[in-house]
Amino acid sequence: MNLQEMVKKPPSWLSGEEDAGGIVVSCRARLARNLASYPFGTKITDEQRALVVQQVLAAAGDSHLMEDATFLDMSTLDGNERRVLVERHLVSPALADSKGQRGVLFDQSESLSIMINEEDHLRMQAILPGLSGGEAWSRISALDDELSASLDCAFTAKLGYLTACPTNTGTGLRMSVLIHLPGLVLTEDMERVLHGLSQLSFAVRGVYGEGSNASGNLFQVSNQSTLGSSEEHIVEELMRIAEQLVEFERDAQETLIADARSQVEDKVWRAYGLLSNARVLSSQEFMNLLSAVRLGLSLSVLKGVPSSFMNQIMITTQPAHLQAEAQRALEPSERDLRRAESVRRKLAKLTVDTEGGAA
Amino acid sequence: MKCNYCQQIEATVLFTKVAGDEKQTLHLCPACAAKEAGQQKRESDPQKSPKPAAGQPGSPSPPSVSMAGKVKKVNVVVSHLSPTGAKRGARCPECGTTYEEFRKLGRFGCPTCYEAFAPHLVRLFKRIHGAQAHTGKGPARQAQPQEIGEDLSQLKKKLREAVAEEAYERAAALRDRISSIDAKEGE
Repeated sequence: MNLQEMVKKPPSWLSGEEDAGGIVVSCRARLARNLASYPFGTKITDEQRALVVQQVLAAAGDSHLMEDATFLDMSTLDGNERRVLVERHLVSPALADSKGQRGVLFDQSESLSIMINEEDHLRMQAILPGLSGGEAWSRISALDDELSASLDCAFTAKLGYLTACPTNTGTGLRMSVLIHLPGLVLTEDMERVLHGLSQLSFAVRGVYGEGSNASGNLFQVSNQSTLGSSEEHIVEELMRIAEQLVEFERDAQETLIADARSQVEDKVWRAYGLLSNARVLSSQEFMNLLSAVRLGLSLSVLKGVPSSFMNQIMITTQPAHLQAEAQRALEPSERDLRRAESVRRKLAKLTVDTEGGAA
Repeated sequence: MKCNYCQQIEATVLFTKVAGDEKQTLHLCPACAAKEAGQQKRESDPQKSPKPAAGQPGSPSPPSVSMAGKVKKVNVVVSHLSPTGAKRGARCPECGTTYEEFRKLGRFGCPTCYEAFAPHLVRLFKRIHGAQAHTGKGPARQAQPQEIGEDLSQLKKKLREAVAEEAYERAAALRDRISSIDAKEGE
């Protein structure tokens, strides 16, 4: 698959319908691994980087899960192409922006991927829609087993997998859940929830990981500790937290509808109206409107927009995707025009009963 | 850093001297620290220190009046910077990453760094993860029992060498690895 083809459609793993009323967008399991015989990212030489790529690709060649995988060598891609991969959650901003031999290997659905020569030699991830942490973990664990049949990973019985950063040592597992919490934000309960999560040693970040802000009321919750608990325990714990958050969010949404039904309905329909008709959409405004429409879907105020559709336009209307489609660099103002056009056209294809859900 | 007093030996003791309202922090070698501590003790100990020159027993005199008053409230805090001076300068024999570098960057340079900095990592892992030992999965390709046997005898040999060279950090790391293998085999 080449990148030009890729940008025309959203990652296919996103086409699966999510459960939990669209509140949980996706779950991701990430494993950090290093080959025992080479230094980590800060000390590795270019020759060694090339050898790591070679060995990982050879191991992946024997893997069933990576049978039809595509490898993209980051050094052959331009800046925008690398941003496309970041927007699709296939590579981290750090991999996109770093230097030297590095790349990403991913399967056709883009659900399973391996970043090679990020901070660790391998960063494998499985990403699935909805509350699917258990399945994401078993997929990535299966890939890990397949690869470790031929790769000698840095591992000790006492400390587990050795990683470049001590915060990943042990299981090397970072489980995260991307969750949409507009109700808790509107009822101003989010502060309390965030505080509670930090007490449980779960980290909360924006959509694009470390350092990114929560836009469109989307939050990414992940485990902080990777040492001392089994992988299954980490997965279970995060899923339990996610279920709890869904419950809190449902309560908040019910409160909103009980206390202010007409205002909430108005907010949802206005957002839908703007998305369907606007001629200029900044990404911030788009994310906020999308959040309101999602809330409408979750409350059944609005029907006929699949949640997978929401997730897909969220990916394909980002700057690098718009630029890749235009095949040139775009000024922010041009992007806002194209974003509005893309959203408008896609929404026009759906059948939405505009009187549906009205009291 | 060299000792503030003798300027010869590496300072490994952080010495805080409090005299009245003045607080002074000194970096000393163990010998000078011991000397200083002894002197402080004599000065602060009424039994051994000379009687106040003005000699007014019972009535508290202002600190400036007498010699003893000058160091009326002496507090000596002696804290070791680290158990050995060498530890601070720990360096990974494999990739050359120093412990200072690791602290600054927050990244290990290679798998061997974990052994080289082992004495520092116990607390670090406790702080980050609230735990010190892995309980999750291992590589699918399990080590054969025979391999473990060889590994163990090799490790023991390395440990003897490390002790002979007085490379105690390396020795501690080796000892930990040996005991973890022993524990595993005992299961």
